[in-house]
Amino acid sequence: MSHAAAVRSGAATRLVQALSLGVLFLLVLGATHLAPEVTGPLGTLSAVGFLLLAGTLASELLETIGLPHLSGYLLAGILAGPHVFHLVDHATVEALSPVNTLALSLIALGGGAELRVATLRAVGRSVAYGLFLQSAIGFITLSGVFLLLSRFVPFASGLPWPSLIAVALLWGTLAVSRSPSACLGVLSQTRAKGPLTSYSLASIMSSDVVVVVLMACVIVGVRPLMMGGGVSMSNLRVLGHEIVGSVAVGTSLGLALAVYLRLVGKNLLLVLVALGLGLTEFMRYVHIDPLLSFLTAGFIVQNLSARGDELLHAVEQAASLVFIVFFATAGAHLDLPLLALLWPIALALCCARAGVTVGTAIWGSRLAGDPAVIRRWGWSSLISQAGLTLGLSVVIVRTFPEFGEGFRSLVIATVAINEMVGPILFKYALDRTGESQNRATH
Amino acid sequence: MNAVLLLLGLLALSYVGSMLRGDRAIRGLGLPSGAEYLCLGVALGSHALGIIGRPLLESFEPLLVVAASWIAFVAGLGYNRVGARPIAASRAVVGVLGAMLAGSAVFAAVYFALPLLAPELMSERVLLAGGAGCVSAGTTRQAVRWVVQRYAAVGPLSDALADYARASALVPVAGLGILLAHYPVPGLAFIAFPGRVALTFGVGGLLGLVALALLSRGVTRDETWGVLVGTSLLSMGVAARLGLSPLAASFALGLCIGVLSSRRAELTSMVRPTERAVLLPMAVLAGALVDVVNAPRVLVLVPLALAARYAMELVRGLWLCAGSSRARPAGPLVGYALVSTGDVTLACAVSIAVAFEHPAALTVLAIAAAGLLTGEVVAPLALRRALVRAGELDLDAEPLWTPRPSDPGRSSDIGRPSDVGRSSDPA
Repeated sequence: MSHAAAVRSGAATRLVQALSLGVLFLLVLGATHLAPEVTGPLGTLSAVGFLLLAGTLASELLETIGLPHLSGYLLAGILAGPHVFHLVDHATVEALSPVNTLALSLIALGGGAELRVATLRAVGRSVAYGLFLQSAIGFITLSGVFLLLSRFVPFASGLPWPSLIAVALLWGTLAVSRSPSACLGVLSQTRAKGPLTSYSLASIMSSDVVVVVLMACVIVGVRPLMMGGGVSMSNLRVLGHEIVGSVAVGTSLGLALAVYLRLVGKNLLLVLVALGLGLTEFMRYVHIDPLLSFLTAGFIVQNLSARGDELLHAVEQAASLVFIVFFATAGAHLDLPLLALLWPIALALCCARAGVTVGTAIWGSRLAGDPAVIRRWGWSSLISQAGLTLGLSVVIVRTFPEFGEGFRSLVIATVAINEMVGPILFKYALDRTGESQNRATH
Repeated sequence: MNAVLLLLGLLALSYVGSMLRGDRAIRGLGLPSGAEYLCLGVALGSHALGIIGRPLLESFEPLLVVAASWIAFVAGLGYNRVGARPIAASRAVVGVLGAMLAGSAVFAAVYFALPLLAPELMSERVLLAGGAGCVSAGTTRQAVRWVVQRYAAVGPLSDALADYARASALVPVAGLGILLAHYPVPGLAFIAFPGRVALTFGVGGLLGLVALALLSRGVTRDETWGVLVGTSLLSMGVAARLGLSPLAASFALGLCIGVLSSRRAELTSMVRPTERAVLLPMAVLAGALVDVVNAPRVLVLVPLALAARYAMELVRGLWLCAGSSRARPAGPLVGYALVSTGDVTLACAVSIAVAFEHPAALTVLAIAAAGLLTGEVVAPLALRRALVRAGELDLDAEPLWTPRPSDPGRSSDIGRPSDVGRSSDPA
């Protein structure tokens, strides 16, 4: 271990970090106590600063017991959030939504850039089997589980059968969504390399595309169950336009980025922020899926130019700060009273999802003839759920307001559990397989 | 205009700003204070083209606070040095005292003339006089640097003027800290006024110590950014929440890190490129904030403040000539070389305009804008004249619009280690 690495992991460092965290908590607590009525934009400043610092420090402290950094960010957010110490209030958490927008675009861009054609070829067979089984069997099984448990779900107990089936199908779609951000966050911390890492990246990034498409199809399909009538071809046309448009815009963006990287190559951070904040709004306005577009753009830069690693490096640099605030905000957003209310049904649904995920992953690995490491640990990255799932639940709320809010509450409760457990399992697997590497100090 | 479009425009300006930081740019493009971007903002503002309207500006106020405070943080971080060269204590004292004289003169002029010129504004007397004093006290360090570099001036007077300019940044920031502490939020009213002033700088100092402790534990470059950005935002946020000056707290934070950290040079080189990238968007938004129509008594108070400052700069010139043999050949007009204001002053003005909803704050902003524009005209001429008379600048020299390969002695900053200890201070 280098001297710098020894310094940063020593007992004295941990003491300094714990003391600093205490000072920060006291400072913000004092300010909140003295001026409790001050909220709004200026409160957002201290919230971002506090979540950034507290998230970093908490993650460093939790690292000593083997937990991933994401758990530290979440914990800092939960403690600072409106349900515990109230250092960050509801309005501030909502005001931080641009950070989430930026984070999701960086996640998608970075995720696309991580998808190398060579890697996809190497793990293509495994990913294809895994994706098919997890998406098809997972979708059907978990929809069925929801139907079985529906009488314990508060908002679903009074629904007529067609609506109940529709809700179950929507739930099944959300249940097969993964968390690219959690995957990239853990990989960024551990700097892991190896077959499990490649498989996880390829699998999760590909499942993103599948879930986005599946969700659009399911919404089109269940609308008649909820509202009567048949499946409208115009809805399918809109869906096709959205998917093809997203890929087209993403390809153009990727080519433009590649040209920029080749000709200018400077100030990438500003360019990424402009893209993440500005272009995302534009894409939403013209009904193009930003996630799919950025994913495509990253993929194009990585595989059609020699500048993919530059882009990845820039995304990692930008994301290093944005991710902390993103996950800490997600922690602050966790509705703990709701979790306390819904935890038995949420836990049951999470256990069912975990069981199906593990089972289909192992089955898929066997069919594909994967190496032992993937057969044993391939499922570990698939448990996490975070921003993508929550984002999709917002789409459901907007589309089906009659049951959307209750549905979203249940999603939040299950995401809370998966968000806390998933990264721990993935990091544990990376540690056990020896793919985690010691962090280098620059 | 749409907020997203404005944000993209500001990011584009930021992009331009980050390009305009090399020697070539310094010698060839733009003005040291960013005055042209202020004018652009005025043109885009609600009283000209109307592209950036008042409601849109209000939604960007947090960004303005962050930008202004970040400029103060960077100024604090590099406060005690000009490039690699530390500022001699005697020059720092002279610089601070000179700035205090200028600020006090403007404060006194506005404070005592207000009952005669604008009795209806007596309830805002402290805000107007204090604000005018703050935005008239400093000298932008960039102005001296740019003239010296453009004309390849070398000598003790150039160095001394650069040091005075650098040291003067403390005065407007401290003044602003005092001014905002005068108006406490209800929860802070039980603390006495000196306590609130101490709290302003204490928040920055405390977070500076936290940052120092964390930075000393072998953090990576990304984590260093996290610590710097996190502590800066927290100092701004806590100070703003308590109704204190975010700018003063950020300056204290930067000063604490800059003075005490063993990694000061590395940290300075990390954050310096952000300075201009932040200044240009802030200047445009500040320009859009300028509202001479709704600013009360602007036609009377702006000339008064400018006259007071220029009168005091003449006194400062006399003082410098009397105390320094190097400054004597330059004559008393050397004081006008220090009249240019820039990023820190603009940040203070913006901070006041955002913190106070009273129209009097707009008058303060107008005074700052007028000072900045007139300083941009007067100071370079005065500085050139002073340096020519001091024998440090060749009258026939052509400006260095582009870098010359045969010019190895010119560093990117006027601070040179060999200059340490060379002093012709009047102090």
